[in-house]
Amino acid sequence: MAFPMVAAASGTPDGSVNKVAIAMFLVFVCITLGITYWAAQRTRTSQDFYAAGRRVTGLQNGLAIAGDFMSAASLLGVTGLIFIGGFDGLIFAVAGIAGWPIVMFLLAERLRNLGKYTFTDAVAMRLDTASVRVLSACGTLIAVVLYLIAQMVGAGKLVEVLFGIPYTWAVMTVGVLMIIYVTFGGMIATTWVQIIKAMLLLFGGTVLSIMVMVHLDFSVEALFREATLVHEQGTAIMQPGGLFSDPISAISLGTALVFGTAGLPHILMRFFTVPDAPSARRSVLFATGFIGYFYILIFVLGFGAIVFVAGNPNYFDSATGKLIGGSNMAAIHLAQAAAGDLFLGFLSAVAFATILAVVAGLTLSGASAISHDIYVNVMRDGTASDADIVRLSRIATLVLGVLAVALGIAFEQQNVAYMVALAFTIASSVNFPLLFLSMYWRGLTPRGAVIGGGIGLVTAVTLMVLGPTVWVQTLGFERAIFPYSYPALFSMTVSIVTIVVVSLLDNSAAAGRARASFDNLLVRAHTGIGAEEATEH
Amino acid sequence: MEALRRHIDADPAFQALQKRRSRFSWTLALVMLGTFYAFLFVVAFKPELFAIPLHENSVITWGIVGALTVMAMAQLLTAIYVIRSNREFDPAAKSIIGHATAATSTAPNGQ
Repeated sequence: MAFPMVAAASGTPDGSVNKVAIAMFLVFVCITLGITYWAAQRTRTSQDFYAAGRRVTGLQNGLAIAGDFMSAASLLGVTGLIFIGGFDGLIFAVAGIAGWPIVMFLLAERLRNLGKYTFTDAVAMRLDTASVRVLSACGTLIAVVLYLIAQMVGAGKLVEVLFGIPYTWAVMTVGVLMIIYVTFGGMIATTWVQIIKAMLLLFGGTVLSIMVMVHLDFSVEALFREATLVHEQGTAIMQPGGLFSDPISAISLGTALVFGTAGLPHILMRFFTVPDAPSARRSVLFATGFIGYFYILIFVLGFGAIVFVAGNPNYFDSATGKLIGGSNMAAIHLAQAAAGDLFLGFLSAVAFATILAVVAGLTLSGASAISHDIYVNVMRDGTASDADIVRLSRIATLVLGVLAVALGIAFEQQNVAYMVALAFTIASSVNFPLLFLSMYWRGLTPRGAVIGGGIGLVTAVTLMVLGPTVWVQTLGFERAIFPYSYPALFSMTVSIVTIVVVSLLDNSAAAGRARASFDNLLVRAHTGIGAEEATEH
Repeated sequence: MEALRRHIDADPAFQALQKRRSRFSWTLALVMLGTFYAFLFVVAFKPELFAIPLHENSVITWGIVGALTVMAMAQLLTAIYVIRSNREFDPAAKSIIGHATAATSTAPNGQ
């Protein structure tokens, strides 16, 4: 039939599943399971499990980092936002790329030289107390779980529409595959799954963009002109519009995206998979290039979707007038409209693979916070045997995987875009200030880090709950207590100011030791002397 | 290792490198943040500036140009950072480590 998704979307169970998409996805699953088997042979120590033996090259890591960042939220979500609002959606693409140079200039190389498996290690280098590690691990876990829920719900919805598989089944499929990748193949499998997916995604995006531009004789002016002719808002899609109710929300969201990028634990973790700081630098160079290129593609796909999909009644529900499957499906509809059914199947499979790869990275990062940061370094004081660590990491992965599936099912009806925003807000208000100040400010003390970071965490969560999205839309109260949907501007400021003030007032012995060890940190950060090294193989 | 570390810490060449590198990183970071927040502030407070078309026959606005500028700036600054790090900072750090290693291995007290 011409429009397999139309049938799938309306929920007919009579074999109207998208066969091409499922076949292509099965090929992806077989290849990645093969890689997991190969990776499992090479995963013996905790360094293999968490850091892929530190033998990943800069180019490979750059692709993997780009893969982590190019989630379904970017491919489908940002394309959908451009489809709805034109220019307003572009703001997400701009903010998405702007965080990477900050990671490059201020974090990547130092982080590689200072840490072992997690960014908490780098924070704890100078502030080695149990409470600092626990807070930093909490920042990791909360950001990871929120992001995981968003990806799980996104996966369920997507697969329901694309493949004609029920929501619960879809979420469980993602959960089971992700648990297999991570428990058996650790970081080696997770990295290669991410690399393959990143290449598929860039390939698919490129082909689709070319198909769009072929129709328009490769004229950018024609792309935008056609879009303004079709879109109901006309030329208004070429300028900032009504996406943000007020200027503060726009600036606050931009702040969350830029500094949250610099605090995402599953991405920071990737800097420990390369042999040294220059490779970490190369990783970000490649990642920034790939992500920049990807957002240029999203630019074309978003406006292309307006040209090809917005004017075609076949893609809209005749009863409600809404885009079938919601605005997140704009990129998928475009694939069919511009490139045909076969390509639709390919892009659907890539979208599913994208979610799978991102959840695997997130779960590994969450498992490292539980087993490495909390169990080994806090409960066992750094003395656990390597076999113990690997075993516990696998158990933690299993627990997180089951939890992610359960939460994915429980949160089916929630606004997932907002959960991603919340994850970025936590990352920008807890993880980033801790990491940044520990590496750049001599005066930081353990007490300042714990109290300031803790208050940052509480502020971020409280303001999100009291804001319009949760307080009014989810909880049903009439007026929001906090007027802005995105509180990062406030929670990040509160966090940093509190950390600084408490640190300045701290006269304890631990504070003195933390300040005194800053020179040690600088030597190690700049020379790599004492940094973790790759295992021989 | 501790002697090596102390030797490097006391080396004026290391202190000079460390300062030069930090100043460079901070300059680039501030240029990037400045570009991004300039874009964001126009979106938030002066959106009408971004509604102006490039020329009267075009639908392309300055807003699109602004968005592409921020994205291009990210690539440009990253390239500048990598080139200078590769050409200047990596060799400088290597030579400092080399001198310190030689000095600490011949004089075990690391003076």
